[in-house]
Order: sequence, then structure tokens, then C-alpha cells
Amino acid sequence: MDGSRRSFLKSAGMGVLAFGLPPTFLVRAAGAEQEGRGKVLVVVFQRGGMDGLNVVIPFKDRAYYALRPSIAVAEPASGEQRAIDLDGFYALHPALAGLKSIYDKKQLAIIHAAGSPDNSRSHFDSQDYMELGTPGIKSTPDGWLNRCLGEKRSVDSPFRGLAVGPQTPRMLAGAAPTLSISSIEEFRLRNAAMAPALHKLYASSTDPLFRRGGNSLFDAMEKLRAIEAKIPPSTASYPVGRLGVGLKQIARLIKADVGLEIAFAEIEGWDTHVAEGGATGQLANRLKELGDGLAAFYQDLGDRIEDVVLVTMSEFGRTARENGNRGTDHGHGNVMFVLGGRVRGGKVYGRWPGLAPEVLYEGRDLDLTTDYRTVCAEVLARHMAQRELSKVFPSFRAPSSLGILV
Amino acid sequence: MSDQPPAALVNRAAEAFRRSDGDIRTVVRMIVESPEFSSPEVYQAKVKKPLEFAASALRVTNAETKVTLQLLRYLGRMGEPLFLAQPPTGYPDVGASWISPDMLLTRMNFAADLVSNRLDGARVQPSALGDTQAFIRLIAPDSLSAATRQALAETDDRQAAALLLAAPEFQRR
Repeated sequence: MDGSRRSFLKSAGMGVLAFGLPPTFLVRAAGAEQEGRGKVLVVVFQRGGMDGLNVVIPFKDRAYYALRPSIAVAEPASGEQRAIDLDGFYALHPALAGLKSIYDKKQLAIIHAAGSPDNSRSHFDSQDYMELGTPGIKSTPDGWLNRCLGEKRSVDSPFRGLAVGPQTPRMLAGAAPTLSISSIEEFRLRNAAMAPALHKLYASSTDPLFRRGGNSLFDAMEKLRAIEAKIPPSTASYPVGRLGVGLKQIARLIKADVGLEIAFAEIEGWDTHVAEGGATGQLANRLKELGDGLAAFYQDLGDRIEDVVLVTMSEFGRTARENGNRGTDHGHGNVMFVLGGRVRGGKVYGRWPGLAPEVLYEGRDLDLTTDYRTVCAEVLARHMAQRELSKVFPSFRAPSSLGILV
Repeated sequence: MSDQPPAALVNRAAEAFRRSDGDIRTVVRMIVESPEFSSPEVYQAKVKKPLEFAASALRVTNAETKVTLQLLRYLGRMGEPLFLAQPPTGYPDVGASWISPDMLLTRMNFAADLVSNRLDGARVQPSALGDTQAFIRLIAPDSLSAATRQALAETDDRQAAALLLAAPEFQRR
């Protein structure tokens, strides 16, 4: 071990050498500290299949109201429980009121009739395809967010890729090291005195599964403790729930400049087969959490939003026609949000395919006119300066640029 | 039995399923009575699911238990929110799904909270943890690694109980 490393450890006052583990992460963390503000991509995955037609409502397409007699959201007008006009054709669900001011500031762009082109209506297959970045191909070994990390940028930090949650989502899983934690504060042993014994016992376990698991755990805890002092507390008020918790932690890590590049958060509960509701109800409650979460994140970041682009996606949209249970079933085209400082927002992008029976996808769903990879590839190229997009989205070529980023 | 059961047994089970016209009782009996089922290779081959882990920790410490929000939260953080499996196929059934760093940490914290009586709804009598050797005989009479034995020798009885419950050996069944 060389002298400079020794002196760094000494000055940091850490006893991590107790078990002879190489402190490479400290060297990397120390390197990250010198780097400035990097660009960050945040992906919010909405598991279950969001009903995009009731999120950004095509109120001028009269077929919309005919297809959805009990769950349609009323067109914009004065009064409560009405959709919020965006451009004279589309309107925002009233539960997303928190996003309107960001849209007006032109830092929120919307892409309609977007999503994954595979025609699977299985949650598992569709989520897998979207997360692997290879619609129709299940055997892809890693997620597309992980492949983004395959390209080295100026900062080499153990926090380059992070998911908030107990498990690594498929989108972030792969060869590049990433972290998955539920909470920065709670990612520690509640009885710290047990740490040395537990670490040792896992490190020398003859059970390979647990030896690896234990090593990852103690490694991650050490990494987090090494930068903890830099992480500012949060004052923004996020909605209760997993998304709010996730976005709050991501915002803190962005502000701490620890080298975060790719972050993942998720929100469940979009599978509205029964009693979906219209302006109020089940879907509205999910949208309230989503909209308030994104708005809190935007406000929390302040001028750091300039370095951040957040993209939302869901595995598929839902049927254009409401079903017999006042809900909707698994469909196709959907809505994506792109939020950030350098976003050319205040506009709904994408060609509207229409809702007439003859233009519905497979006779029942909103068709897809923008592949989600077109949106993501554009964000990666323009915001993250990703050079080799063909490694992130193999055998995909974006038809043309949407122009959603400045 | 195992995340990778022997192919020959899987084939026999499939055969039993077909021959009995899908009678699950017949299939289970065939598996349980097979020599593979009691072979040393499958001893503790399965990782306990969070509910199995929590229940076995509560039982082995003879804890008086009530279901509380904290207990349910622990199960959720370990990856098995009770009755709330999102996918219709249920909770995963292979070990690797249950030991992400966050889930493993949650098991360790559960063990520490339980033995120090900081787990809301569970009360452990000191007498249940009094004798580490007796506790070892209860938990893992013949599968404790040298590393675990050494770690236990260096600690007091209460902490030894927490270590035992958090150790790799106790995570398997």
C-alpha cells in the first residue's frame, strides 16, 4: 500500500482495513470528490401499465369520449375536476396540476403515443423488454441503463448507477457495478457493535451465495458512510410513498456531487382493470403521487435541474375502450414525460395516430408512433453525451430526432 | 428442496403428475419419499424466504409475538410484503432473489432488534438467549462454520444470539 493512500485513510479516520479488504472504493470516492457537476439521467418506471389516454387527454379527439363513457375526464373548462388545457388538443389530468407550472416554464415535455413496440400484453414480458432495451428479445443479459454505464465518463464513482429500492431492477442490472438501497439513513446496521463480527463471518463463509451477498452489503455500506457527510438533508416536501422516498434520496445524492449519473426509481399500482375512475379515483390517486413527486423533485433540485433529465415510462398503455368493470385492459401506446432544465418543454411531442376504430392498434389500443428508445436515445446522446448508442440499444436506429432537448 | 433439483427427480415428478392425472398429493408424496429428498446435497439447500426467516427467528427465541406494523414493514423490506406480491406468479422461489444488500441488511437488523427487544410486538425472555451453546444446538447443531464459531466465541450471549440469527447458516433451511 502506498503512502498517499495510507495518509488519506488516516486523515479520513477510518478503520476499514480491519479485515484486509482493499480500500479501492475510498480511492474512487476521493477521486469523485474533485469532480464537478456531472449530468444525471433519472428514470421513473411506472409498473403495471399506465392508462396514458386518461393522463394526457386528447379532448379534441371526440372518439375519446365515445370510447370511455364512465371514465373519461371532462374537457377543459372552468370548474373543478376538469382536464387542464395544454395546447388546445391535449389536456392534463387534474391530479397532475403540480406539473402544469413546469410545463409552462417549458421544462416538461410530453410524448404521446409512445412506448415499447413489441405487441406483448404480458406485464412480465413487456417490462423485461422495456428494461432490457431489446423489445421482443428476452435473452439480453443486462439492462439498458447498465449498458449506459459501460461508457466511462470523467468521473469514476461507486455511485454512478443507483436504484432506490430493495432490489436491483432489471433495467440497471448488469456488469457495471451499481447500488440499490431503500434509504440512505437506514442503510446501516442498527447495532453497529455487531458490524465487525458480521462482516468477518460473511467474508469467510463457505456459502458462496451469502459470501458474495455479504461482501456487496458491507462494501456498499462503507461506500455510503464515506460520503455521508456530504449529503445535504432535504427540505422539499415529497408525497408519501415509494416514489417520493426514491426521488428525495436521488435529489440529495445529486446535490452532494458524489458522481451519480444514472438513477432509477419506480411507482407501482397502474394496473387499473377495475374501477379506474376518471377525474378522481384510483388512477387519479396514482397520478397525484406521480405529479406531486416529480414537482417536489423539480423544486428540490433548484438550479441543479440544469444538469438533470428525468424520463418516465410504463410497460404498455391500456385499451382505448373502457371495459365492463369501468376500467381498462392491457394496451399499447402510452405517454412519456421528460422533465429537466435543458428540456424543450411546454409541448406535446409525437404524431397523434387517432382513436377511430380503423386506426386502433390491433383494433383496440392507441397505436404507437414514437418508440421509447427514440426518446431515451436522444436524452442519452444530447444530455449524457453517450457516444455508442448502438451498445445501449442494439440494432435500433432512431428514425429522426424529436428535438426534445435544447 | 433446492433451487436446482436433480433433473432425474424432476422427470419422475412430472411422470407422477401425468400418471395421476395431476394429483398434487401423489406428486408431493413421490418427492418426499424419494432418496434425493433426504440426501445430504439438499440439506439446507434453500434460502429461507423472509416470512420463513422471521417466523423461525421468532420461534427459536420463543418470542411472544403480535403482528405489528413494524413487523410487517420488516417483511416488506426483506422483499416479501405480506399478501402483497405484485406479480400474479407470487413471490420468487430462488435464493438469489432474497439476498440483495438491502434485504440482507434488513435480516441482520431484524435479528438485532429481536434479541434486544426493540422489535415492536415481539418479546424475548432473557432466559431464551442465556446459553449460547444451547442456542447453537437449537439452530445449527452440525453446520456452523469455523468463522461463525470464532465470531461467537468473541462476544457475549445476547449478541451471540443476534449473530447466530443473522449468520448465513440461519438463512437456510
